[in-house]
Amino acid sequence: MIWRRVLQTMLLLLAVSAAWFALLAASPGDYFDLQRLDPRVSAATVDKLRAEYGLTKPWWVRYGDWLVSVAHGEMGVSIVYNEPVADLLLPRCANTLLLTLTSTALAWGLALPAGLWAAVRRGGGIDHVWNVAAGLLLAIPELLLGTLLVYWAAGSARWPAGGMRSAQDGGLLDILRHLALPAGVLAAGLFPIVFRHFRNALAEASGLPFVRAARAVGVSPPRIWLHSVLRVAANPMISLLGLSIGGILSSSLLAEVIFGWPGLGPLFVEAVMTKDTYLVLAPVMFSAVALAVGNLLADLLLMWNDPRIRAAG
Amino acid sequence: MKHAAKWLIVGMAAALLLAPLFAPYGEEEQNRSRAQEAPSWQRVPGTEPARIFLLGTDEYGRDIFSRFLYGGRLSVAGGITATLLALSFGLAVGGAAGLGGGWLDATLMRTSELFLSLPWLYLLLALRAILPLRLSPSGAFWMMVTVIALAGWARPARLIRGMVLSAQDRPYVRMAQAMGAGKGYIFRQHILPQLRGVIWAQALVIFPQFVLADMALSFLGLGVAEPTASWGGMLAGLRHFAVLESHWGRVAPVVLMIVFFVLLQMPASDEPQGTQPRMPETIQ
Amino acid sequence: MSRRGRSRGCQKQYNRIILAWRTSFYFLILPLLATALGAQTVQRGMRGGTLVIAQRSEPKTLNPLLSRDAPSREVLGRLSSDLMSVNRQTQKVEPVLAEWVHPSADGLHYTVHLRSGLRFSDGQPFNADDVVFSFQVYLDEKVHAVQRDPLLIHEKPVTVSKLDGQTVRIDLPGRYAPGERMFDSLPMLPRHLLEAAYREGKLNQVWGLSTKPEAMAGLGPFRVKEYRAGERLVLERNPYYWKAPQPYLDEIVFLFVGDEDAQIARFLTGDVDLVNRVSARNVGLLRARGVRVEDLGPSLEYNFLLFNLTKDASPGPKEWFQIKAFRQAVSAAIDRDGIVKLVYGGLASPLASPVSPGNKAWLNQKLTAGKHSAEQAKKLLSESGFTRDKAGELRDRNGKTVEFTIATGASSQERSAMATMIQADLQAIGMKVQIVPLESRSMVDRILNTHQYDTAVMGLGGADPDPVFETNVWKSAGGMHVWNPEQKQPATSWEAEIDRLMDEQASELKQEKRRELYNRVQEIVAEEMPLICLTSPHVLVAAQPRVKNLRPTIFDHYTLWNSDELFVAEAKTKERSAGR
Repeated sequence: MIWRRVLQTMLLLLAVSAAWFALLAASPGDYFDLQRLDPRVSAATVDKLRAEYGLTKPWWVRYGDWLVSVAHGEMGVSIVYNEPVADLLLPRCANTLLLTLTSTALAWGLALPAGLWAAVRRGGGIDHVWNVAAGLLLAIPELLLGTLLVYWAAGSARWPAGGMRSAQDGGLLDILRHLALPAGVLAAGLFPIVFRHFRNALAEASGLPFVRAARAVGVSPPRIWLHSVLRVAANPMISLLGLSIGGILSSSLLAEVIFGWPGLGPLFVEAVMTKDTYLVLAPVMFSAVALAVGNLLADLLLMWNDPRIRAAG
Repeated sequence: MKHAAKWLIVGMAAALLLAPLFAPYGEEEQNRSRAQEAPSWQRVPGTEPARIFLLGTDEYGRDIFSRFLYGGRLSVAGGITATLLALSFGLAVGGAAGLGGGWLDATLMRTSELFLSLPWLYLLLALRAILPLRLSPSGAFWMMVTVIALAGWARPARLIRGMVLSAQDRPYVRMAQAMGAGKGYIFRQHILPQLRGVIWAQALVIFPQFVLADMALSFLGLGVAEPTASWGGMLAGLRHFAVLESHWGRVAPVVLMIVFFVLLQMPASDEPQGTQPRMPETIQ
Repeated sequence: MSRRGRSRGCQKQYNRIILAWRTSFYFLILPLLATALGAQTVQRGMRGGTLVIAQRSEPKTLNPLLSRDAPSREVLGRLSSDLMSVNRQTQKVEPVLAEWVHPSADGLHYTVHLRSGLRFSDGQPFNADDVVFSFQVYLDEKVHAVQRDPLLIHEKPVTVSKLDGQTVRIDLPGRYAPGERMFDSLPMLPRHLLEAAYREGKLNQVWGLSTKPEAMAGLGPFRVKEYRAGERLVLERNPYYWKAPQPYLDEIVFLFVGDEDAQIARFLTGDVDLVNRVSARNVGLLRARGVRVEDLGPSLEYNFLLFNLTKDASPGPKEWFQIKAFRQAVSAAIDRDGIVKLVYGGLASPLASPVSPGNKAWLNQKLTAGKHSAEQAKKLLSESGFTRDKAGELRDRNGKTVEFTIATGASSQERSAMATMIQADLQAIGMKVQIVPLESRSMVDRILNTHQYDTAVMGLGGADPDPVFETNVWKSAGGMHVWNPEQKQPATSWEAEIDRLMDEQASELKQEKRRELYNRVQEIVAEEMPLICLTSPHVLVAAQPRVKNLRPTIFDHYTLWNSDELFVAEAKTKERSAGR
């Protein structure tokens, strides 16, 4: 079963990469077009440069070249930076992972207990408060929240207004201070979704017949919650976790751009704008692989958790 | 409380969709001598033109309140359309995958993964660049709606497919199958009612995507073209500190938008969110 | 002083008056005069300290041959020196690495004698061999250096020959008006580090951002210390810089922050010392917080509305745009003063010709910016056969509604704002105009390659005030002749006339004659209006009070051109106070 999934994932990666290549090629203009606006450089030189970098070849030829180099373990060279793509990506990947892992941990760490609390006291005041909070956070666009926080930080003189480190390197503490706001924004976007899912899953599960039966028989509430209800509510949470893993490299893109966090986000956006094809493809591939891996993990966990799915699949 | 929210939403949506009736001034009218003015609720003698701007004016002297209404019309209409498209398609695909099983299921699910991996932002950028120059504002509008729908159908499809699969295991469905009910009948009678919660929850997620997409594009300068007003464009304007600082009338639309989106979620906060379907009390 | 028949008491008084006058002259009036004339004296600086400057996007390379983007050039300018440069303040060419430069009488030969004892930042000596090598690399066709085209005169390259260890001779293939200016921004490359790569044809792959600092060297005031991907690039003082004790600064840090709002945010928290280019809309909020923002007046940049005058234009606009009165009517309808006021908060200058008022040496003073007059516009239109129907919409001779699009590039907020105002102005005279925002590269592709557009709002200029550097824009065969690029034959008589004038002024060595010729070019453009000149934004610079010897100008690089003279008032210490 795993091998089938792997094969399907390879096909998916092929399809995604081809689609991106085609899209990038379809939009008019390329990196050297902006060169045309430099009065010192003649149009002839720009054309020669274009040919030298292979941009005059049709996109499927360039796609083929790229596939060949990927097969050799290289992800191509960036037109803009004139450096191998891998060298450009690796340091930034680490920065992105720092941000996404921290914010995911924050969000889930807060949402799970909150969801449990709200579900246990559902219908009451606490439930309401948490729901309104979640609704509010969901309604505020992450972009806007981020911008407002940067603006506030700029005026506060206590909080850093962007970046990962200050100009004077302060070590780990400095990084943590800079991490607080962007991770907070990302967590604020993730929290309501996780919270809602968990709370409703728990609420549903606690209404199931076998749970009601257990309650009627006199099993203690904590045992009911932790044993039976949680087990049932885990299913949708596992799916959600899988999707979260899938987004580990891409979900922080906007926050990174707003806070100037040196991750994949700003590099990717600029690569897309300058049509630096190989530099665009690599993060997309990483994300697609992460997505597939996340889904696979989720499915495996689901199977482990829920015997019915095991029997069916 | 829920009922109040429902009526408030309907009221606001109606006001927005009927913007031309409610807006005091035109969407594009520039009053250049009164640019960047703070909100004033009475006529000040000596100003030219002598107009009342409830939320003040923007950098070209256009009335922010009118633009908020017109922008809402565009964004709400766009959001509704995109949501309807995405959900219809998602329902069709999810239902087919869940009922069909086998290779159909696998193909549809892999396709949905493909669509989940293609960020709509670049799809939009690429489409915007390829399309003919003289794209009317409505053309651009439909393009954005289509792309949001394309980006938004995959997640509901997967969730619906999951629910259809587990619903098929229910004893009453098995009994119906044993009694000879066709798949279509089972879907309509037994499964569809269960999906109500999921569909509504997904709708609430997809609906604001139009505004968010417009806002992200406007950040890049490629949103709904000036001088047409849109909520995304007004939100994106706040990106700049100079705008945030000018006067409270520029921030007010954002607050109103957030209120709108918060209210939108209230009627549904107790609905099931795509987890186990509620067991019917009786067997059909 | 003669006594001239004064009594002793009077003489004493007279002496005192003279003393008082002399004292006040030297200590009050002269400095006041000097300050008033804008001549800032260069203070002798304190050594030490770090200057932090924020960039809106990352530099892409540290290889001078590949420096196509502004952030890369900003960094490379600090790492290298030229044989001779244009002093940004006086606009005169000064020898830098050269000790003296002797031009021949006919202007075709330059004998350049280098300063002795110069070393690269890695300690290796610099001599004539490096100069010859640098020019060889720049002129090599296979290398495609960005510096190559400006070194070609009438398609033929300059030649450089070594006379002795410290002297070279540069020969020009023909008379060239800019003369020594062409050697500005032409960094001298280290032969000992780059020759091997050049022989192997791999020059385009060296000196990327992640190259080890020891593998690179230059003659500029600074050298690379450290690069952190996505975050910052740190430069340190070059101990072998020829102008010791300069540079005063220990380090310059380039922070990559993303966009102007981020630059301002980090400036306000004290992280950043210098914002090189502030947009007009942010000046208010900075000044309200007590930040010193200097307004240097109009830049060299000129923004304009461009008409598609190629044969690929779509049917309707194609006929209308060819009518000169139509173009003049559009110009008359545009409210330039409104644009200056609303888009730039007054911090821009309306344009009469493509030469900005900041370019005092070359501006045709007789031309004035078009006056906003809807009546004049309507008159011109009705005289050309355009009528307005009952709905107020403009129709041409054949009854077709006049409607077209304005393309704007997404990257410039100000140009998009100008388009919005122009759209309203044209609507007032009955034209239906639609604004189409496009991604910058798509727009350039449409304008220069496929010609699929109607009108566009664009900006050009800013490199160098000398008109020779705009040749590609004005000559009809030029690749940047934006309204109808790369013509085989001039399409109109006025374009042929401009061709002739540009050719003549390029080889005319007398400045007065050149001015006359270029004035005529500006007159023709102002009359025919293939592009409608709109505004030139002012150069605005913000700096923390601790930055000294800042002498910003409107010529690139606005603030760092004299980076070797800059210093900071108190050296930044490693431990910064927690709550600034």
